[in-house]
Amino acid sequence: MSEARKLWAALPLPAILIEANNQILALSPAAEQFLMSSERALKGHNLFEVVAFEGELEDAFERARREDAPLFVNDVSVGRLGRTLERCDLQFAPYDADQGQMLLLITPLSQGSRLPRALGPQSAGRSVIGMAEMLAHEIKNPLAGITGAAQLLSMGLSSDDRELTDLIVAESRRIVKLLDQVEEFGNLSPPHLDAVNLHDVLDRARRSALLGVGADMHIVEDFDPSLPEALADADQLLQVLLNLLKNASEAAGAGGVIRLRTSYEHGFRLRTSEGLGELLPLQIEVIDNGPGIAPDMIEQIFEPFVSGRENGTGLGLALTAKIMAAHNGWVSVRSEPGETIFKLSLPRAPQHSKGA
Amino acid sequence: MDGTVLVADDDRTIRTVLTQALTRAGCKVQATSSLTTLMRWVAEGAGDVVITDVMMPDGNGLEMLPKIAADRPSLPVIVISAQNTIMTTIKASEAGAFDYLPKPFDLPDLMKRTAKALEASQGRAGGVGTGNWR
Repeated sequence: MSEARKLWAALPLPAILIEANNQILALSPAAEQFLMSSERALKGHNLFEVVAFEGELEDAFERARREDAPLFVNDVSVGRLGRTLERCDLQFAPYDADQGQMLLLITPLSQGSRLPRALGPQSAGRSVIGMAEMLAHEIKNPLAGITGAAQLLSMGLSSDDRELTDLIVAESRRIVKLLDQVEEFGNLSPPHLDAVNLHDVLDRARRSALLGVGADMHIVEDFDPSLPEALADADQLLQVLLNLLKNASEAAGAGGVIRLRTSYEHGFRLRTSEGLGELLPLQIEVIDNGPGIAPDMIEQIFEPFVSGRENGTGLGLALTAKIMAAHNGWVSVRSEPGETIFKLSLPRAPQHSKGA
Repeated sequence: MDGTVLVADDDRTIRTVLTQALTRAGCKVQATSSLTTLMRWVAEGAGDVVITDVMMPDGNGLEMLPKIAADRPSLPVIVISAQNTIMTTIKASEAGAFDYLPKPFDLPDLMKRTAKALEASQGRAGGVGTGNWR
């Protein structure tokens, strides 16, 4: 590796080299992490088509290029288009003035608080998911080669031997299914927040569960009838509840009891790195009477690919955490033998919204 | 199947599989890992059908579609990509792709669609084409 390449790879900050026409020429490894995409995937793309910047920075960048002078922009939101943005400082500096090439350096403002231990369960999965998404793309190419080669081979084989090439194809498809789930996870759209009656959503979830995943369960409701409306995306919340009900059913087994409890907790809020977070007074608890979650697993239960079940993908609870984080809400778990409680905490809807 | 298929994919395993499969089916194959080479072949008038990847080291396969359509309007392009999102599918069809297949593709399926593209290219389309190319 050349010295320049080594230096580039060692850069601790996301750095992007772009051409005169704003096409991406190179991404530092830190930028690949930051944008959750490989250099290979983004190279050649217009910077402004794949990276979102708060405000109209394209003109400011163009001016810096024309005047051959560095540009500093402080405290703006930056990120991969369509994903969560991060507050960052930007430096946009001429790299090769003759060719109009520019170097963009990104300094995420939360850098200091992004050490693994400081991460809450809600954000911990993010970097892993970014990596997994990138891998999903990189794995599909060799898989296409493997299945294609197996299918080619199978043409001249006896049925006994074909059973084996079919197995190669079928097992490869299984991997693809998992990869697709990972990609879906990464592409989850931001929630459409609106005033939502939680009991309506719980009712939908309960009915749907009784028809499927929770058909053999006793589902008991323990609702606070005075509960005000929450600020949430009803469909995404339904997805979360169905997933929790499915887990609870599998944990408690046929004939088990699942309790759905709602309550109002004044003053419940999260402590974040920036101080006290938003008030999250609305609580939904999904309680099962199963054997409980092993203590060594409960710590990482919201991490992707952590599963207590043999065929679990370990993405259900990670998706739950991701959806709750997008709601500015919270999910927590408490478990002992005979009682496992998953608790969702949500903000209240503004009182004047939706004519209440 | 007869005719020449131009294959552009930067993954060697894909080029090998496609070259073998298409050759066995009776096609001639020209395979490359570079879009630049593909575009040169297209400009030279080579090939009856193109099979191309999207993310290539020297550019984006989808962005070549309008150029191919302008140069060789009757040359069908089948896009294959590991970027299996709805957006890629939409972009591919908007850009005028004859067909789009996510990776990993089903080889018999890809062969069927290639046969259809060859028929279309050689003016023997029987109105069964799934593509929406112009």
